Amino acid sequence: MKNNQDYQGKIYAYFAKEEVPDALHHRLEETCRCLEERPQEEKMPTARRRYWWKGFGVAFATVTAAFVLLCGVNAVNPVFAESIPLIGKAFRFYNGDKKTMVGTYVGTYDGVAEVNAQATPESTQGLSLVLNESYSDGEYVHLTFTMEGASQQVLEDLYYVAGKVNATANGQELDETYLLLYPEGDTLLGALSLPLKDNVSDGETLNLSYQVSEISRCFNNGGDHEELPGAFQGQVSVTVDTSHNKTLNQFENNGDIQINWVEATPSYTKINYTIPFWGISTMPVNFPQLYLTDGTNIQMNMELSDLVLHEDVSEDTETITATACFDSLPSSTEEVVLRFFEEQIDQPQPGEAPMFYPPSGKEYEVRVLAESTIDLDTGEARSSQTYLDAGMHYADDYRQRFEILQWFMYINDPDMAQLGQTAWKNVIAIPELFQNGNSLWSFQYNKVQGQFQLHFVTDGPAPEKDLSVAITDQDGNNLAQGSLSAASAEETSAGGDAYYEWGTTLDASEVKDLQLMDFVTVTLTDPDSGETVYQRTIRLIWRDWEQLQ
Amino acid sequence: MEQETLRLVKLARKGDRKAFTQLILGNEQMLARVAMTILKNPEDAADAVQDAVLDAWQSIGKLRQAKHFKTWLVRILMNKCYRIGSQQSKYSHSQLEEVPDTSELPDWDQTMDVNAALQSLKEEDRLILGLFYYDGLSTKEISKALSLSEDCVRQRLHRGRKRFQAAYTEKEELCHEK
Repeated sequence: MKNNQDYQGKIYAYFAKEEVPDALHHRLEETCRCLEERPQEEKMPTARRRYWWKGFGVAFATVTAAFVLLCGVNAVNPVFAESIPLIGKAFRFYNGDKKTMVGTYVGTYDGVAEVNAQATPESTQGLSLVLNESYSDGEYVHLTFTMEGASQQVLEDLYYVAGKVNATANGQELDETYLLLYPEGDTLLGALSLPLKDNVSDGETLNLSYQVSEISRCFNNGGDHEELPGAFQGQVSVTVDTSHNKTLNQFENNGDIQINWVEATPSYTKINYTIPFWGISTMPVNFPQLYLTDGTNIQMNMELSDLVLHEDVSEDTETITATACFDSLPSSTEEVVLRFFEEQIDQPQPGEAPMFYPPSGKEYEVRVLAESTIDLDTGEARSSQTYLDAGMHYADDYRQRFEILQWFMYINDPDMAQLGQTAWKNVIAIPELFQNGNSLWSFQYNKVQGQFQLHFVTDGPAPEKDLSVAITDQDGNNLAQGSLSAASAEETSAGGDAYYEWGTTLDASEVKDLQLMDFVTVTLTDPDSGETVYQRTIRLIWRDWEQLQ
Repeated sequence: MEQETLRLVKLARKGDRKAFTQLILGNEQMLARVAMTILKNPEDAADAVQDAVLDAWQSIGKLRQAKHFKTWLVRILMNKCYRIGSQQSKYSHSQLEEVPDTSELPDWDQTMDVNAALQSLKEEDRLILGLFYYDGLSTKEISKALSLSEDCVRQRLHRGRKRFQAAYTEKEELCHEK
């Protein structure tokens, strides 16, 4: 059998020979050639070390004893968790890199069965695998495993041991997945959450068969791996327990956030909500985070969420409705806090305001747009401000904050709605999309520079005449005016069709600052006849993160 | 991260254009792979890479730790790709964070080779393999760069390796039979 270095060598060689498209290569060279002088290096800010658990205002007394023992409390305080002996095993991998965001708190629910069934080994050379615990809520089966008998050679510099898992539940094949087992001394622990193909009813028995094969050890911080011999197989019967599953509809709401329904099981928490349309950054602004009332963050599961995409919104959108899926909640959770931020944040740090580090520009605080405390018993959701206790702030000047406001001709623009795709030939075929052969393509307002940049497209022939451009606000006040020069038109093509792109940069008049979500009207006129050649009202729903100086 | 790269990053942070250019051209394949995986179109990818390089040049002075240069650069490029892709509705982030593919390996015939074995992988899997094996990013760095969970990155790496190994082994056996 080839050793892994050979395979890695082959993979490396493949990527070494991967060709860069000519267009990209030439553009990259040209860009590097044209780089402008840059100011001297700024003084680097002192890196802050975050000991997040020290800033975390959790009163340990609020955590139930059962929760601590079964769950291991990594979710609350990893330092504390490490100091207590565990009765159960492995439903505790919560620290981000060790768990998919499903079923973290299964261990806090009644009904987790202690199985402790040895899997049948096949030529594993001393390795043993035990299925410790099982639980099913009818949506997932959660299993924990312990591997023992690993030699010192296997354990040395070990990152994890992985095995491919194929399983069936009542004869039905489940999705293939991988079990990752992490070292805890000489023992390895792992947890697996298998989604069932169909929901299973309460009290039904799931007869689960599983094989763990293609076992390998990953070491050197994940940089190397090698095969380990053997495989395992086993069976377990799991009685489905849906008694902890709940669905709540018909919430009584107040505030900006409307909770429509909540579905909570020991595997996950889904919340369907309606929020104001807060514009678009890289996606429609919809950045929820879920917390327990003690401040514990419940991780979001993007895979199972149904968030809003660009094509789902338009300039007319006032609210958006989406479903966010989070990890499970600890048993007996009565209230949760759903908080929406101005920007996506990775790991919210308890007790500190979350920060955002854009590629360009300095760091800044990410603030709260809205918050709702949801009572899972009474079905009430009320506007709240618990974020203040967590060291966060309300984004009271959200709409004024952004240096760059933009509009683009986008897919669900009513004129584009007839398109099934954005091939240019389909665009130019749309009746009335173009007014006298012209269409606004993009619009940008840069507050700091006090300038507007507009790009138009013209469906041939090439523009011959300069046009007058005027931008007005929703009250008709003049924001800028100038000229769109025919000389600036460049022929280009997309999808095999030629068109002309031309644009202009205009200095803004001294008027009130434009804000995110404001409307502006762009008008092109023939300077000789005064005739309006093109006019469109757009809404500035795109924002870019550059801090106002 | 290699010492030479660290040295170049430190020089670039001080405004050395030549050092920055060396860094960028030295990571040309990585940039191309990321942009093409997301945008699929060389012209769009060129636009995204150009924007990313210009942004990176302006902000490299603010890069806190030189060792994170590649991760940081990929993050900038991803944002540019999102922007261009969203304008053309060609890309959704959910394409990267998806349920693992459980389809069977295709039947290989004797003309398949290493290239085909890797080409058979999903583009997103190939991207992650390339970032890991060729560009030298760790799973943590890849997860930060691509905004994926580290678990997802590991699973996909593992799956990509396995599929490649299986395909390559089968090809070799076919060759031996010949």
